[in-house]
Amino acid sequence: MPILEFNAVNPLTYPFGPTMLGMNLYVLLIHIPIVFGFGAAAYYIIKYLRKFYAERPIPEEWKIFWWAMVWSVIHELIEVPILYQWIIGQVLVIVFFVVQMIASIYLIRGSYILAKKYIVR
Amino acid sequence: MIVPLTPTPKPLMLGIDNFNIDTLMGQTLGWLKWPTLVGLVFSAVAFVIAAYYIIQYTKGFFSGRKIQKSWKFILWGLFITAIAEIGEMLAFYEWPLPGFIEVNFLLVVPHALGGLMIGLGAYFLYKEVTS
Repeated sequence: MPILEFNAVNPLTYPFGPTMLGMNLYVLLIHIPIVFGFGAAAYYIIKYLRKFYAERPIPEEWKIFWWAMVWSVIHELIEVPILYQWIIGQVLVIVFFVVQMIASIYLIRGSYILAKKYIVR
Repeated sequence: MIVPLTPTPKPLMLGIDNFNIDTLMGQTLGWLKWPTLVGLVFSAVAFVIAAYYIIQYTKGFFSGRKIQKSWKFILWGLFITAIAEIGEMLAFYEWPLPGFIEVNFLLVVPHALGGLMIGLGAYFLYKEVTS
């Protein structure tokens, strides 16, 4: 695997080849709900927290849960160049690994503290 | 150099025979083999653990009351995304000969559905405090 390599790959002709435009479009369009779903989650959770807590400080567990959503968006975004092979290389794999670990730790920590604070006593 | 899908006479339904942790998207991983595997497995496990704790949270927080639509969406979104992460691992490792079932029903569709449900759940959460 190279250290870092950039490729110009046309999403309309990839991954199924230039004769299968429908399938290529299907793969391309399905990324909209994937990326925007997590993006919307991060956006609406911060709006919810600002509204719900108003002047009061936002609790730690909610801050962490929100960061988990933010890192999940980054995680989903990185998968796009991986799938389309726009970027190939060890640097991308390392970045992907780091982002996955951070997103996963935030997700577990955020949901655990949420549960712990309200339930596990 | 990119590794495109290998053309087959008919769609490969299951690609598990091509599962190889030495490569990711057809690229040889070398020393990155184990960190990559750990990252992909941990990612899938994290969504399962998060779903478990969110169940505990909603059970306690709503104790006896009806669980709000927002949390149901978030919970199902987390669970479905866990399936998508497993599918992602399979497809990335099976490339350039991934199975139709893994790519569609374990990766692409659950990813879109999971992301959509978490996004909608967060939107409902916001709407519940504003309406």
